[in-house]
Amino acid sequence: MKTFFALAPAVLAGALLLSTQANAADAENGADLFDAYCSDCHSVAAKVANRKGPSLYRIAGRKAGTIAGFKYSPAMLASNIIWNGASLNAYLANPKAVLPTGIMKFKGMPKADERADVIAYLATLR
Amino acid sequence: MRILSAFSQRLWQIAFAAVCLLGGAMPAHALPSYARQTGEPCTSCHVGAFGPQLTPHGRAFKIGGYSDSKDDAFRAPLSGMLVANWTHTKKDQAEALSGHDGTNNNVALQEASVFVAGKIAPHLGSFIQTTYSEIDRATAFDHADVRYTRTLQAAGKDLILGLDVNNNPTVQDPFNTVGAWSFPYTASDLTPGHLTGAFLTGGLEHQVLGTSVYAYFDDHFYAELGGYRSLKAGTLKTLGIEDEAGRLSGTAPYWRLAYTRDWNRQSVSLGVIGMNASIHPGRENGPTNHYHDIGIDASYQYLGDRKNVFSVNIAQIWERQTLDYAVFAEETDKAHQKLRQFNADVSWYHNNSYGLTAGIFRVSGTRDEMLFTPEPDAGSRTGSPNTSGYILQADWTPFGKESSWAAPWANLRLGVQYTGYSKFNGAKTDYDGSGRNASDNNTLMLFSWLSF
Repeated sequence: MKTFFALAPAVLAGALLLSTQANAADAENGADLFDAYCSDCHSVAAKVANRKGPSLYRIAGRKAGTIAGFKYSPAMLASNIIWNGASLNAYLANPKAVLPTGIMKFKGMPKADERADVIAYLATLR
Repeated sequence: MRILSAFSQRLWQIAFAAVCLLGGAMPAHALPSYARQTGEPCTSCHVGAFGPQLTPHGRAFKIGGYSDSKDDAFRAPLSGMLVANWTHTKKDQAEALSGHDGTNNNVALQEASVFVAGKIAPHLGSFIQTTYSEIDRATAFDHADVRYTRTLQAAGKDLILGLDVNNNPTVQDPFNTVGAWSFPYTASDLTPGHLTGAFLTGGLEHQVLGTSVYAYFDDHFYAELGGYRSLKAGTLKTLGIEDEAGRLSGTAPYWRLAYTRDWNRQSVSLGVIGMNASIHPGRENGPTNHYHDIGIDASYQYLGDRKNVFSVNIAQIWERQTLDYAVFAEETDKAHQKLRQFNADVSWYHNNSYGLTAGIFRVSGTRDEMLFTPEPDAGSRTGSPNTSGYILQADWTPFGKESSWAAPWANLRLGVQYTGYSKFNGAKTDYDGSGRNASDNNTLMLFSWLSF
């Protein structure tokens, strides 16, 4: 319970930030980009399902490394990242730059506008 | 001796025709055990939500050793598969190809397979198949591919190193262009087989044990080098496999180079592949038949949003043969022969469910009236092995998506396939010397393919 109260402000702030970004970016295009870049490894189904990557359903405001049943890298578990617009943007741009010993094989999405669209789409997954 | 050698040569021809080109019934493989292991739907790894055509993600899974998984939980790496079909040729065959089937319009449970397929240990995975054929009324060890891989860093890039053990050259190949996993991915065993094909594409299928090492650098450069040795006749018998190819003289080298590029929405591959093999037909010491194969291949996939996928696969193989054994056995007086084999296919899958595929194939080789003789259905009046034609396929894969019924426990493909011949064993008309035309072998096949 303590953990919940400790994380609640961050969760709300993350969701708010993502929602704000969602308005500026194109979530529909983000969904298309997600299918092309992310869907092989990540599910967004409401029935939480991990693949080789963890479920991204309700990722907005979530603390990294907290999906039950998924084996995260030690680096991700120790990262204390809260997934909001800024952290997702940095991670999607170059995962290895954020977590050099992380296990995600994705090499990154170089275009800022595409990242914004994907983040906007992720914000809709609530 | 001559009778034995002629018999072995005929066995080789029949085996090749039956196993490699037309009746090969390329075992199908969208295996739910992999889906359970990774948590991914069939669509992640397979074009059209069903095997064996791999997406770039599926290629990475295979190159990575079949061992990527969503967690550390143990899951039995077991799957099963049933392939049933109905086969109609334009004209009845002179004789039934099996004692259990007629000369036309046959229904068969062509394959009932069990697989040990998936992660065995960290970095170690397998694809091992055993198959019962209702046509043969027999069970036999089928494709086997076991690999161990590690990922290192070299010059700041990923370098995957792998050690592979398999029983069929090309079964380990991560591309769908040459040999074991090329189109057609399923074909009827109950049609007349043409005389020959490139040795690389099935000439040693299940007759050998091979080891190769491979490297995949920066998701771009693939290199593999390996060698094969024959399994002993007693081992083949134990495994339920017919001793068809003879005995390799020493080790047969196999090599593969490829370049791949994946832009997420599109991917391409370009490659070269080769193999040398010297065979003692009939396994006795003495002269050999030598085959030197080299091929080039390419593939393209438009994956888009992963729901509608367009793909192209192309391969050309050149083969030089030095048939010292066949000359010694007086099967031919042409020791040096050549063969070329070309195949290409184009497919479109809509919504990962509805597929259309068109393919063409052509085999051409040295004309040899001694080696290729007239015989009803399977022979050559002209002494030419040249065969060409096309394959059209339409199929429906109702499951295999994340939200599908029974996912990730079962998948199904239903399809219709038509094979048309413009030339068969060297001629368009009366190719066998018994009045049969190439088009008489045109084949309509309906198939049902279930994996679970």
